[in-house]
Amino acid sequence: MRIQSLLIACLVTAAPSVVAADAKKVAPAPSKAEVGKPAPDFSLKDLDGKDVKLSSFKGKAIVLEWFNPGCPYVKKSHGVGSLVDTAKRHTKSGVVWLAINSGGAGKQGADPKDNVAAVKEWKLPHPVLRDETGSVGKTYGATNTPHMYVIDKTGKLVYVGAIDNSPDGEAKSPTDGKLINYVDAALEDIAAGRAVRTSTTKPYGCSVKYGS
Amino acid sequence: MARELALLILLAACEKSATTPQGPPLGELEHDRVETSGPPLAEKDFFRVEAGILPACPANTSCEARLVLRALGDYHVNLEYPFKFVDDKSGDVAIEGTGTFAHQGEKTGTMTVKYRAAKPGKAKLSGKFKLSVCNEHNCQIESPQIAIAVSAS
Repeated sequence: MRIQSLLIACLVTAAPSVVAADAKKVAPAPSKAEVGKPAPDFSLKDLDGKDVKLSSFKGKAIVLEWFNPGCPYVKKSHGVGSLVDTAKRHTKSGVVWLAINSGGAGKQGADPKDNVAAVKEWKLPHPVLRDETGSVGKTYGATNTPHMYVIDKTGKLVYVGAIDNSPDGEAKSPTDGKLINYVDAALEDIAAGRAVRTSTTKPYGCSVKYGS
Repeated sequence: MARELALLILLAACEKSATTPQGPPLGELEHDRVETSGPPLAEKDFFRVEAGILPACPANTSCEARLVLRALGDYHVNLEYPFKFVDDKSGDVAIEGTGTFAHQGEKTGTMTVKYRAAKPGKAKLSGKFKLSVCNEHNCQIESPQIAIAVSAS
């Protein structure tokens, strides 16, 4: 009886710390996007309200770029770093490039006006799609901005990770001394008909500003 | 008897989880106390850069200055960022290199800057300190202009 009372008392006092510890250990729900598997289809609206569906680009190489015009890393990358003119170069060769903003309403960079201004400032040749509920971001497991995904012409996800190996966003501090643009490299491999040599890297940047 | 034993085991496990510390180890908190001197070299709401205490250093020898970054409010030092000190050539000492950015806990980090003063007297070490701090919601990347007054004997 005494042991039972002690146990109940202990459980009551330990519960918050146990819950807190468990809360930290709980892994996020696994994304449905996996390298080597078909990229999950989705339909989102662009800044003009037009529907854009991933599967409508079947047969083309596609780049998905998680985007937030308020994120300092996105600003650096598009201003002076590895995203400068990268989309422009590749869309000329028939690659489809889609920027996706999964910021919730009221979150940093989610205002459509900020996205319109960014498209103008950085001369982006591609649509920015609004994923306000965050459902596509979570399906893809997008954690950062920028977070890059490359899909090959068969619809298979072949690269997930950072835009490059310079986590200052400016392409001036490459790890190991040599700058690598991972999206360039993946698209080169696809064009050459070979397996993508680097299929996963750790993304860097701001956290995606999900609404919930 | 078996029931009592099971309860005892559960009780022991319960006490262990209740006493598991939640915060960072005390040693890590103590490391946040890095000594500095003088007013801040650069400051915004979310960070402050200060000069570490400069040891006496003769002219024409390799000396070391230390930059101390403190993350303020709910921000912490962004450990994934490649911190850099870039000589802007406007100082009057020769910068000979920088050390790796070292963090002392979540809120503080230091970078050593090696320099050489050509002659005795007061001089200025100048450059941009590329840094980043983050909180739960955002990361900030900044490149404040830094000027440290040094004195060569």
